[in-house]
Amino acid sequence: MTQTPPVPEDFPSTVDKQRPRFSVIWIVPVLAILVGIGLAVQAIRARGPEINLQFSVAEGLEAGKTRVKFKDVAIGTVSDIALSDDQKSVRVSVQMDKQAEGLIVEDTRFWVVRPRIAAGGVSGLATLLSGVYIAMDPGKSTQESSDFVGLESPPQITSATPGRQFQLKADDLGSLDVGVPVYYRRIPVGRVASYAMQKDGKGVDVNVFIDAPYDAFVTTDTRFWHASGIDVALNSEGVKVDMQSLASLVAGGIAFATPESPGEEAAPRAPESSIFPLHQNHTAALRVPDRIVQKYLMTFNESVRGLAVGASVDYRGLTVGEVTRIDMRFSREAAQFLILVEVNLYPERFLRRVRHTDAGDAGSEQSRKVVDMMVKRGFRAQLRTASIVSGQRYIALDFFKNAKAAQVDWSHGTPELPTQSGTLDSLEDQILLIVESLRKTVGHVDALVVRMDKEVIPELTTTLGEARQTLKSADQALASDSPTQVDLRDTLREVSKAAASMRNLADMLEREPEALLRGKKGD
Amino acid sequence: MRWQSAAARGHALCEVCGRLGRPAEHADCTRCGSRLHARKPASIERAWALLIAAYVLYIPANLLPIMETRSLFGAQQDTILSGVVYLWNSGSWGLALIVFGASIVVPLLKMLLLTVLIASVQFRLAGPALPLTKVYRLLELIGRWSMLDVYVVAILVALVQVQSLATILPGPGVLAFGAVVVLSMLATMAFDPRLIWDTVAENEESSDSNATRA
Repeated sequence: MTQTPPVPEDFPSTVDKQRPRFSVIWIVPVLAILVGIGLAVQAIRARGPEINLQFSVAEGLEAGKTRVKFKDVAIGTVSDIALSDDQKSVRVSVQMDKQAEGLIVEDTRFWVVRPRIAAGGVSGLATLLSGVYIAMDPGKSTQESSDFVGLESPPQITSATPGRQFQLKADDLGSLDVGVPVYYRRIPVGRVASYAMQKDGKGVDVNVFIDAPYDAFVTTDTRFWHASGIDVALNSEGVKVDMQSLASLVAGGIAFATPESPGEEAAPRAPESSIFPLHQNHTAALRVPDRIVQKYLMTFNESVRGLAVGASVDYRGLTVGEVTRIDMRFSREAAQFLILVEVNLYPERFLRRVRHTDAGDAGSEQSRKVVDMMVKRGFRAQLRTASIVSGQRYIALDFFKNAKAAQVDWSHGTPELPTQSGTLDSLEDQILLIVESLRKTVGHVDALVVRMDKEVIPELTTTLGEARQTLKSADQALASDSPTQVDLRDTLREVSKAAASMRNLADMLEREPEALLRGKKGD
Repeated sequence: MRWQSAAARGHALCEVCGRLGRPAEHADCTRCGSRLHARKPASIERAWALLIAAYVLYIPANLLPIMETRSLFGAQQDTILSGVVYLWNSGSWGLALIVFGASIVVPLLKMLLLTVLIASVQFRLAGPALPLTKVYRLLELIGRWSMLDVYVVAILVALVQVQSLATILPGPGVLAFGAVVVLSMLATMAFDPRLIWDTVAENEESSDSNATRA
């Protein structure tokens, strides 16, 4: 066996020896760990909340690829797409970035941006190439949330749009749709944000959004109306055709205006989401709204054919109310059915200049007195015909000097105004009279014609025959070959000959005046 | 004793000029003056350090995107694994397997094998010295194939630069991945395979001395 030589102290050990000091090489893993931790921290810090969106379909969405964008900045990525628990919709999980924190609150809205073609225009064309993305509109709430129901169509109004929203109450939607413009002085200043049926189904709530700075023009006194279609009005100045714009003709629209009433201070700006009525047209909108309504009953003992609910009640040509109900009532004392008409009167229209007077309700003591006094002076309601052609009737209120004494019946809930029998009946009588006398006149004319036929015409015939004969003989006398003519011509010829002889004689006498005495000089 | 290592006899080969010297007498080579080492200095320690660094960076290398593709059809970030999944789903199974093997399996396998080697040396598990040497050879063989992804990204980034239509940008994952490959190669280099056999020799020696004592 060979002896192994001693190994010196500084000779590196054959088998690894524990070194007391730290080698420089350990910096490498430490650095790697630091880098790793740094990356992890960065990744964790960049991760924002994870949220769940619910959509009806996942058309175009792809896990890991579809982005969530706000102001076109990607702030999240779809991490998972699955059916919801009830399998009726799609649950889209989104991993948001750190910068999206604070934007994800309760009323934040999400929707999928796809190419869309609507009457208002085309949107989302870029997504044809790049694929769809989810857009969001951060809400104003401070309550954070992680579960949202995605909108099926993009909202018209995002929270970033300056302006205000108002609610309009309409009877029906007309041709309105979401996105339809709202006009002010024919400038589009806003659009319809949404609409919904009222809960009781008795109307439609239309939410409109007016962009800043035009929203300042919406005051508490502002009127909104349907600007869809063409408004044709016929008045004494001729036919007036009114429409907002060609676009509104096709797609519909809403217009608003604030009536200017001189002498009154401007109404204050309407607060956000105030409620306005949506009128059918411009005229209706600008009519002063009737805040005070008084109901009256009227009993008519004549036909009300032509009188319809909504017919106007006027006072000397001014509309002051409208018919709201036409009914029948059995009257015991008259033992017959009477027509009962209920009307709404708007006392404000009488008292427009005097705002906020206590015209009050019909029952108030003061107005009772006034009405009683008026009735005493002959204030009555009367049925009148508005148009002979269409037979439309209206109710006229007027003072009749020779009216029979009557009183307002305050005994029922609704006061009853006395009525005056309509002018139409007397008019009919008069017309009958006129027709009768017309018939008599026509009879006279008939007799006259007959007499003329019998007596005048034969005489006329003979006279005409004689005249014709006279003319004929005159004609004959004047013909060129008639004896008279020939004779006349001969006579004229003789006369001209005589004249020629006379001229010769005159010439000779001029030359030889003595010939008169001595006779003709012999040649 | 059937065999003896040069180091056990106090000999060391100069790594520069190849002259056999005795480090006990001369710390430097008597011919060229280079430092003499019987084994790679601090081999186990360095290998461990580099290997741990490689392990650490292997995590971001796989989690971070290695490539960002921006085209008309949107931007997309791909990690190695998502690329493999994409290739697999689009039907290129062969390509998917190659990328999976070269980018995920090989680096991991390399690091695991190296771990086994270093651990066996450190804890003097003498038993399977021959298989361990085979493992080391395999390690050197496959090491050079694991940079495939980095090459692909480098080529694509250079090629696809049609500005507004499509661009490809390297992601931070490439850096981490490259670091993993380089670190694992360095760790392999730092490891001295002769240490495997040193353990064997030591064990035999101790068993011999035990036998003589007995």
